[in-house]
This record gives sequence, C-alpha cells and structure tokens, in this order.
Amino acid sequence: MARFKQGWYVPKHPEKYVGKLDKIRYMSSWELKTHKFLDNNPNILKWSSEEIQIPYLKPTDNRVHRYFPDYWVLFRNKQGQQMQEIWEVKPFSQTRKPRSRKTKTRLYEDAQYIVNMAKWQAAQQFCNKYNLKFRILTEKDLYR
Amino acid sequence: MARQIKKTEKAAEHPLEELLDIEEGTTIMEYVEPAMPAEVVTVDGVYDEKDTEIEEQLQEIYEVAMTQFEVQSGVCEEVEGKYAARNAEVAVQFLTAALNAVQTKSTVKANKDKLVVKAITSEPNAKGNIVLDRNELMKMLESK
Repeated sequence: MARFKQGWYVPKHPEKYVGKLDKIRYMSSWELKTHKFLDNNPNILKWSSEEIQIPYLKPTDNRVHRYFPDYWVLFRNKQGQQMQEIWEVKPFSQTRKPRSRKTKTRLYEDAQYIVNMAKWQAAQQFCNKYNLKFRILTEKDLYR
Repeated sequence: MARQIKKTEKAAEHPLEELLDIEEGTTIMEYVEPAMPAEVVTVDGVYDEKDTEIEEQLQEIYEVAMTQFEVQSGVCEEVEGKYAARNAEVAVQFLTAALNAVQTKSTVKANKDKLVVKAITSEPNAKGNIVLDRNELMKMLESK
C-alpha cells in the first residue's frame, strides 16, 4: 500500500480546470484537500495541477531538468482583483534546513533540500517574469 | 426500514480562504446530513409515556451513531493509510453503539410483544376459541 493517499481526481466543475481532465492526480491527502478547495470555491476561477513545467538546473547532477509545480491558480480576491499564483504543497519540515542527526538520512535530506531550493528558485524567477506569485503551502496553511 | 444517508453541500470556511484573501465561508463542502429521528411507533395500551421516551432516546442514539459512522467512513477515504486505520476503528465503535441501540430496542419489543400477545389472547381466535390463563379467566367470570 502506498505511504500516501493517492488517486485520480474527478472535478465537479470541469470548466474551471485548465488541462487534461482525465489526468488530474493527487499524491497525498493534502493535495486532495487542495484539489477539492480549488474545485469547489467559486472565487477560484481557473486552476490546473502539474500542468506547468519550469526548467531548472539540478545541483546534484548539474543538468537541466523540468519542475512541475503542484498548482497554477487564477482567483478573485476580496477586492475583486484577479490574481495568478503558482503553488507547491510540501510538508513544513521540507521547507527548512534538514536537522536529522543520522548520517544517511541527513545526506538524503540535504540533497532533497538543495534540489527543492533550486526548483523553487527557478519557479520564483518564472513567476517574476510572468507577474505571478509563487507560494509554498504546508500543513500549517491547509489545517488551521 | 433501511436508513437513508443524505449527503448535502453547504458553504463553509476553509483555511486557504484567509491565506488568499478571498471571501470567507464560500467553499462548498459535502457533509453527511444528520438524520431526523424516525417516528416512534407506539402500541396503545402497551406503551406508556416512559416507554415512548426510552424508544425515542434509543432511536436518537441510533441515528447519531449511524451519522457519525458515515462521517468517519468518509474521512477514511480521504486520509493516509495510517490515519485511515484509526478512523476505521472509530467508525466501528459508532457502528457498535448503533447496534447496541437496535439490540436494546429489539429486547424491549420482545418484552412488549409478550404483553400484546397476552392481551390479544383474551379475544376469540379464528376458530372461535378463547385462550386465557387462570387468573384472566377468574377475572372475566368475576366481572360477569
């Protein structure tokens, strides 16, 4: 059994989704919760999941790879302004420098952290270029 | 009679609404509607006020337990495996509470049925025979 809740999501409002409707997957319960929010909130005008690709230089092999951020979202805020954002859903622990004491775990976490930072830096540059906002959502944002 | 599970949608608050500065309480969420307690069937001459009250309380326990069972079962489908196992345990506990309520009702009904049968036997059956115990026969004769 998979460690995380995974599956294919069928939107209730397919007209809001930008991308292939039969390829909307979720890789954790947090992503499922976010999918549901985006699908069911009328202020979310358009959204897509893992449809945008951003090239980035992976520090561990020094080659260009593609980064697929979890979400692209177009929404209307309280002031009626339309905003566009790119989101990544990650555990809070992975957004901070690794603190594990075990050598093997630490090595893996360090590598993961460096790769994530490279991805997010590329995403931030992409967002700056196209006037979007890049946001990392953690469990602290999803469960309050 | 089989219990009908009603799922309805209502606008509710979501943590991401505040984060995105969008109108609060606008996310449409699905939830299990608490069932209205079924009408308690009483038998004149056998049920007094206390019996009806007990019957209503048992019915309410059954409805609440079944509603919560549905809620917990729904949660099981949305969370990671390790949490789903615990939710399933809680769901089973609610199911046990519902079963206990039904069992108690069944025992009460069995006891009441004995009284009803006793009352009915004072009337002639299909063959025209009257089945009575000694005490009832004495009472009938006394009244005549």
